[in-house]
Amino acid sequence: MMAGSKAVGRHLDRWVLPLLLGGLWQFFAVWLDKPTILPRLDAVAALLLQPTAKLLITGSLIENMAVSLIRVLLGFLLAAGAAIPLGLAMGYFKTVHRLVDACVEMLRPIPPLAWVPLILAWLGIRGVADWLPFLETSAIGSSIQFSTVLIIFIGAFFPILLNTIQGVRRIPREYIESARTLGAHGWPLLRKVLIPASLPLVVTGLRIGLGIGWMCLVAAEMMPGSSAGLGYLIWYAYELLRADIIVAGMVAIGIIGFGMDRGFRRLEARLIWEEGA
Amino acid sequence: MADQKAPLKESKSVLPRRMTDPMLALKKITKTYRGADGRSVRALADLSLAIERHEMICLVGRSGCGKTTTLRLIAGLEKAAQGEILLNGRPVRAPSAQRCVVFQRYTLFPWRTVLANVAFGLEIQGVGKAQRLQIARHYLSLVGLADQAHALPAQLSGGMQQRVAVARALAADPEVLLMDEPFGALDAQTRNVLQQELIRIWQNDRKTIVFVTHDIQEAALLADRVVVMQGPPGRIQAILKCDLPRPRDRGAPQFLSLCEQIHTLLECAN
Repeated sequence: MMAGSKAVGRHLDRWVLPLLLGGLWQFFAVWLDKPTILPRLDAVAALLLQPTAKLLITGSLIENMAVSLIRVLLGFLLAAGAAIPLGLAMGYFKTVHRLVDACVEMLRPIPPLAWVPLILAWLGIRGVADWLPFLETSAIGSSIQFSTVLIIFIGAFFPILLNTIQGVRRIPREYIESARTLGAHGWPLLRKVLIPASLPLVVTGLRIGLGIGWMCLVAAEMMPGSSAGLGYLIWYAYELLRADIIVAGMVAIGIIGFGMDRGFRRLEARLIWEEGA
Repeated sequence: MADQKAPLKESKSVLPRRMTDPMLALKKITKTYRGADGRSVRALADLSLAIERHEMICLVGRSGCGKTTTLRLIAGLEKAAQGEILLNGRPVRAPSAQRCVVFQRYTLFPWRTVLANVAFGLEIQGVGKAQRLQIARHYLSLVGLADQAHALPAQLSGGMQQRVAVARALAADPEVLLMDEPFGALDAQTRNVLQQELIRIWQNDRKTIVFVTHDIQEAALLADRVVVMQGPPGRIQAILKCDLPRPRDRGAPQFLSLCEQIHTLLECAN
């Protein structure tokens, strides 16, 4: 009994501040009565609880979530596909590291958003569907621009790359030497030792990369050519002074980001063999 | 000290010989390192050694005398500046499963179960799953850890991990087993137990073993021949033959005099 009520009490602790802030928000929203500036939380909740209802002219909340998610996943998967092999090579071969490292270090500090004008100049608002016509058939597929995906790619690429390099470098030399004296070299050494041994940090890199890619999304969806997505929805709602939709969109972004982070953290926790028992 | 500075040819003549060529031959090996100040440092100078099949050889010396370097050269993890190493008449160029190493630090792959660790070498050789797990189980029970097959390395004590490392090396069935202070990080009691186990296992399969240690007693306990090294630059100061019957009694006068002999050789090295 005691332990049970204690656990409940500890759980309540965590919700005191959010509830208090929510209450304050709601109080001022009702008191101020200006929904274009401070929307009431029940209005926001109503939007979130009907995610399939059509909003403005941009489609439902769920559709916008799906568009955003697909953009981020596409950019993220491309970044992982490029950064992991390069990171493994840079971590293992000193020559590759020396050849590539200067470029990486020069490009890395440039914020993904600083690339926007140049990327627009290069790629314009061309959609991925121009190249992969089968995407044209779906509303979601036809709204994915190269430029958006590329910005997410840039945001996700560097954390994955740097963590992969570190992941390989931190492999104790004895693991690799043991494997080699047990006859492993080349592809089996890579697949059975280097990749699993560096995996915990690679997954950390993936988690951070996905998080940054997700954060780049709103900015990426502000670019001309966007006609859907949570970022687009927020900006469009701003133009129509629909603060309730803005907040609902923000909450949706937060929930998805939180969920992705949690998923990867679970994966990471399973990969920490050293701390097991 | 009759065979002090005994070069290869003289020590050879002392051995009981059947074949003309030794199984493992180190011929005038010189190894240089690039030191911190950019100058090259000689780690080994003109080292020659012949090791016979089924022999247990211990390399003893202070730290920095090149005993670990010698082992790493045999393993193929380092390249000699001059000289060559022949295993069954073939030059050693790169690491291979013919020459497995058990290191001092725990080197089990932490993401694999104990059983999968022991099976690693066989997996690399392409042995089928059922067969390699069966062989791995055999070696795991040989080191007394059959019931830990599905544990992860992190769940085992240091002594158990080194047992698994020995089983992993043996399961790959190397021509030569190389051991680089494998029990050096263990507490004294565990070390004693593992030394006894190594002798027991070795007496059954007579694997050729090159064992590096700085522990005089350990060398005297295990070896057919003790190679006393000095350096840097590393070279062989003497090779002592010990034919006391195993398991050896640490209190026996012959054992103590052997230790004393090794000790004296190490002392007069400096």
